[in-house]
Amino acid sequence: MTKNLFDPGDRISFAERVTLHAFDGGGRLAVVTNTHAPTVTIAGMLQGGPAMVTDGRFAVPSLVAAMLERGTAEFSRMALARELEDHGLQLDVRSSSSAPASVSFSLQGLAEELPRMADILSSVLRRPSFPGEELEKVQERILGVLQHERQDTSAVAFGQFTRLVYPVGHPHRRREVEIREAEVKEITREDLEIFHARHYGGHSLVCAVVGDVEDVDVQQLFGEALFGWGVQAADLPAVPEVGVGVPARVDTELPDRPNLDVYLGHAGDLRFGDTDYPAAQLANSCLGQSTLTSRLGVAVRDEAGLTYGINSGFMGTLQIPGPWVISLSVASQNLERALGLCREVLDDFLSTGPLEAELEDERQAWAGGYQVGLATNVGVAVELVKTLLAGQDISRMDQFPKELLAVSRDEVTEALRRHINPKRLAVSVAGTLGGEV
Amino acid sequence: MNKASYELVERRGGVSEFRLSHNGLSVLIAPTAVAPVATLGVVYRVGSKDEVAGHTGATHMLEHLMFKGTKRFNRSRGTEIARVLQRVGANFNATTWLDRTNYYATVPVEHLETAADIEADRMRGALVRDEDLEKERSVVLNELDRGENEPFEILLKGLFAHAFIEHPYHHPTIGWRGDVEAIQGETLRRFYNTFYQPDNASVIVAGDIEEKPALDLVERFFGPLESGSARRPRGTIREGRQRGERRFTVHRSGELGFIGCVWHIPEGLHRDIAPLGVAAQILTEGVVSRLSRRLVETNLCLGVHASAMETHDPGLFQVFATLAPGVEHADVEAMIFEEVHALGTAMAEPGELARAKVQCRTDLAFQRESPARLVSALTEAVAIGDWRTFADEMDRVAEVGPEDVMRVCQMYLKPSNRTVGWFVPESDPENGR
Repeated sequence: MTKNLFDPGDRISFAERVTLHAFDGGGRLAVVTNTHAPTVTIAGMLQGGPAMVTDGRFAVPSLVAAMLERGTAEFSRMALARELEDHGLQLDVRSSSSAPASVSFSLQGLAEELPRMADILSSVLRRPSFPGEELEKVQERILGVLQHERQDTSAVAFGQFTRLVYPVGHPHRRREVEIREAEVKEITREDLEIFHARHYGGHSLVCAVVGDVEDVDVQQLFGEALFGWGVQAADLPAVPEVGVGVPARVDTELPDRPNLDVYLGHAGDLRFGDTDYPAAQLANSCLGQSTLTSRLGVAVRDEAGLTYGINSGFMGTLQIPGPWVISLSVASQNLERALGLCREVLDDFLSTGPLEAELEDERQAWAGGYQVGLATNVGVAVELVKTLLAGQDISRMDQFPKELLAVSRDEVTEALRRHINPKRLAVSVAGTLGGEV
Repeated sequence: MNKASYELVERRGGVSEFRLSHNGLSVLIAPTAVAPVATLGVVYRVGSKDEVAGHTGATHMLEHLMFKGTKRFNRSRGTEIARVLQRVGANFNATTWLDRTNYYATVPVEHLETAADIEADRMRGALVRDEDLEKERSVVLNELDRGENEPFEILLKGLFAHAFIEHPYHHPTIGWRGDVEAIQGETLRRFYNTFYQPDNASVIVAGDIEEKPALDLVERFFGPLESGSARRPRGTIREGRQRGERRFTVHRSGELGFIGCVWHIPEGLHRDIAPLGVAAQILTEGVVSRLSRRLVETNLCLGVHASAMETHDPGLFQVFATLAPGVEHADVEAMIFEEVHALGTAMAEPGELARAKVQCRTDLAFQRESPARLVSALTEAVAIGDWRTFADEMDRVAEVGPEDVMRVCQMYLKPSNRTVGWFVPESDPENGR
């Protein structure tokens, strides 16, 4: 009988409750039993994301991921859909936004469907057929989504922001819609087959299975489903160097959009697993994690009433660090005042660091929030995958809350000044800047 | 727990309802020990349908002010609600909808007391100060602006405004802009004192809890509250029968077109809601659904979604489609009507019904896995008038036969009962009517 992670009468550590297995070539599988609900969640990642391309065609990995549900050696598009929907299964495969070198997947359903789920995952990940007619449909659909993006204030503002802070060829740089449209139109079935054959394999697969399952069953099913699946592991391609960054601003006028979306920040260098990761996250929490209680939230929303939502955060800390950014929404007549307040708050916070009392609040918030985040099978599965992908030991899931509680004010102030620099802020705004619509 | 203080109302489907005898508070307890966390939610039976002309948005504005301070939880004491909840790692929020306002927090189970303490003080001790209203007014106006950025939100607002002429579902939950700009603190305080009362609320606790300690906890904090004497006006407005199709078109800047079609259907407790829900699933749930195959798999649309609203008063059956670039609204609309009509003229396939039922069973299992989702589902059931609809959902769906689906589609989804809205992107003005 597998130990039950969630047995409330006998809560012992993750390290003791998670069973780890190895795939052919180096991939890993984590299994956790939770008998309190008749469900199971499978989550995983493998190294097949946009950052793995070497020719700048970042859309290829995304299209490979999108095509995995469009047909396999065993299933046509419609047959696969029936197999999933007739049994209440939810499959999702996509390029990961938090880990640009990876594609992430999840499959959820009733625990009794575990054997079928293993078969489906094997078919989808290992033997996609990339049918030509489905590729045309996916291309057309992506072009429609890109068309929508042209009028989406948040997407436009964020895209411009990334182009201010990341050089051409960087995986975190969101390219202009026109460039992506042209690239998507040119991608062929052969491009997808080549990328899949080169990068998809058990060697980079990290996978977690959490639910009303027995470890021995999972091990057997996944052992069979993924047996002999390996390719030559590819190194992560070199990423263009990110410059120091200088202040810059781009305003983009979009008609009929009374709410402006605003991003201000700079390229980041924080990685999940860094020694100062807990301290840096706590620093950001004091500054802008909560739209209601952080310094930015209190100043810009609660006291000045300028925004419905304001947050700051490190976007993407796995594999290739993403930007640190403040995002907010604001009416045009309040834009400059809100930006000024953001800068004031930031400067003040950088000069003094957090107060011990507010830091203690954030320590407790993170530690408690981490526990709440692990309240569902999917929460546990995602955290396990993240931990394994970062090369961390499972014991981190037990230690992380304790690490957070132990971080000192000096460590947080030091991390704050290391990772957040108000002299490098790039600003991007999109919406109807004139006000009236 | 003082045995005399609670009256057991009913146990069903793993959920137990009790009532605090002296103040009428309903308490729902749903133990589910998936993890050492628990969710405490309070749902007030007041929503935007309880607002009168000139005061639209009052329910939503009040929800915002509920975070600004209570007698015991406020910034001057260093105990503002959000900070206290955040300090214990809570995942918390509040929402307002047509029939209800709800507050919830998911916390490590050892901090459940904090959530109960806050919600009890919020129930009768909110400050609702004028100075807070002035600051929060511009926050809500920005929230309103955000909605105006979204074609779908604009279309949705128009559909309710056209489909409901008499009933207050006519106006948006966030309120009309002029009302939000003008609403006064006195109006909100009166609204608060009328509706935020123990006998107009349900406290829901789910998660890693046992029944008796959970009831004791609720009694400790909510037991001392007295129910006010204010008489609560209960809506008596019934929407008149619609006797002909209604249409409108919104022309605004944008890149993609949208279509929304709605039909009047009965209230959430009506027996026809289950077959209408199955009809919605047959139309758009998953890749193999009828409208997905017809519209999305053919790339005429980027997405299509149908649902049968479950509301306290008679609601709407909705179908929304996001058009692919260059596709004519009229073509997509005709296909939606064809598929809806087909459901009312021929029996659904057995496989379609079976699929809807297995999806329902799976959804319910996942709701049981998460205390937050369990509280959310019970909240909506309370809002429509009876939490037992949650406990009985699988049974009601299991009983749906193909003849039921055909009957309700015939009865409700007919042209004279529908309202149609088009969002036509300004860059393509010739596409509209």
